[in-house]
Amino acid sequence: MAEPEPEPIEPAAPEPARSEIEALFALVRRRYGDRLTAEQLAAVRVGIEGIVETSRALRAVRLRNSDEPVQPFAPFRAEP
Amino acid sequence: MFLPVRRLAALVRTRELSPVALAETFLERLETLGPRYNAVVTVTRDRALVQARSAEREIAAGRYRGLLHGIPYGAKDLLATSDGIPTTWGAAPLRGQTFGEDATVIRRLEEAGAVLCAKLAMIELAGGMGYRQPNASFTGPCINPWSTDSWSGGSSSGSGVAVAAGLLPFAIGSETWGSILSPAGSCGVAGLRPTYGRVSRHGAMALSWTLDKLGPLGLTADDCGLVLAAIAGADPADPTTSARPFSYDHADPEARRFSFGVVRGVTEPCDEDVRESFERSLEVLRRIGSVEEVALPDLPWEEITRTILQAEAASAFEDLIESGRIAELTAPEDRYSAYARDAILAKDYIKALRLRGVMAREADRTLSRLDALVAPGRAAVAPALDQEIRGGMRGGRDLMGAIGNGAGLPAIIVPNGIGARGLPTSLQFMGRAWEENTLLAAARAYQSLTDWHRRHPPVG
Repeated sequence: MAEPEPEPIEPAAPEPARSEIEALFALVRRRYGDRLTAEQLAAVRVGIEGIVETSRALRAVRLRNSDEPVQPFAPFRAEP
Repeated sequence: MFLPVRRLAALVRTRELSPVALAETFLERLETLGPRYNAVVTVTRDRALVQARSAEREIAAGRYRGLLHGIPYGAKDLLATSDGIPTTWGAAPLRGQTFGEDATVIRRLEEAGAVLCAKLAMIELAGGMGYRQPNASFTGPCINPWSTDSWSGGSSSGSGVAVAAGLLPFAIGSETWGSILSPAGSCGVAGLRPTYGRVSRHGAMALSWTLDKLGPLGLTADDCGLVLAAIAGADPADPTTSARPFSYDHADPEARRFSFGVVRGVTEPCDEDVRESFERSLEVLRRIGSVEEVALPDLPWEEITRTILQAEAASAFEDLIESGRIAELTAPEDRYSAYARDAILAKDYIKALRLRGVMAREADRTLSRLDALVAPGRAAVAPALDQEIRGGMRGGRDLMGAIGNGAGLPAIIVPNGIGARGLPTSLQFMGRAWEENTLLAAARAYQSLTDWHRRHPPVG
């Protein structure tokens, strides 16, 4: 199977996104770069571009203070 | 080979069909035909024959447990099974993994008298590492019985193939985003994604704790209802399960009229053959109800569900990722893609969880005046074995999948035509939370007017 083709963000990411991508890519490369080939690192960078794009879409939506996360958390107390 | 569960059950109950003979028949098919499709990880012959003999004795003694008594089935290989039967999660580094107890779903099916005949092939780690091709399991790409150069869909790949090829009457799959609907739709069988919390996930591999669901695949919607009735219900071992009871209502009042909605633009990402099948389906649905176009607010639907899934999967498989053992996975992209998920910030994950509440309310507001939203089951027929996979999890459009899974809503998929390369197309019905009976009734009504579910691939 062919490696996935890199899919650059079109049009080029605006400056704030670009700097966020670079910072996050630097973090990931520092953590895992020694176990990845140049080709794999390039693909990871494409993945980070997608994550930043996705996150920016979430951030663009305004929520009220009262909009809570949907979570099933419940306090725990062991029964005797 | 292609009898629905209700008909098989009638033969078993009246002792015209021996559970042992039935198990032997399907075990032989699993052993001889399963490898042709890469559909099976483990044939559980010994356990199956023990269960089948027990069923035979009980039925002969007049202790009939119900419609699944003596009926063979298979389980996606992410459900824990005892007796030393491996549970591989489809992943090469875990091919020797075993558990000491059965998953709740396996236990409930045993209590119903069903006969476990196989652990079925799946995409490695249920697709949680971001695979983009069919060859993403140590058992090889699962092959579609309708066209052997095509994929089965995934990640419950073997579950779809086993039912479609007549290797088993029904199977259990799991869905985080699309993993029941995709193989069911691609293989031309019925698949039911229950409401989140309807079925216990205890003993199932976790991919995304707030998205994972377990559900049945069968030849018909009715089969799915029968199986759901056996596996649904609260479980102290899974605190996300609901105490809401589920009793399968298979009565079909002839006068019932349904109200269906179609989300504006939902067919835009679809191929022409899929759109044509869907248009024909709408004509059928207008005979049993009304069909109206509905609009949804502009929200980043796919981004919400994708962020939750990717962040939770990165945590669920932290050991495999941090240790570097993902390098042992089959699909090249699964060996490194997850590293990028360190870039998901906590505040963005929490924002997605907050937006999920908005998503759930908006979806329910739309569905509250409808019986179901209907849409093409998949945007395209199954891809070729060497073709890249597209979909919402990978940055593409899948509005129904994003909302349905993000909001934890039930859906059922049934075949609705034959499209490109002789492969099935499909129709999905998605409803309000806990409305499985409504969806099952609508799907049964559709199947009563069509015969796509009676067409089967030339398997032998």
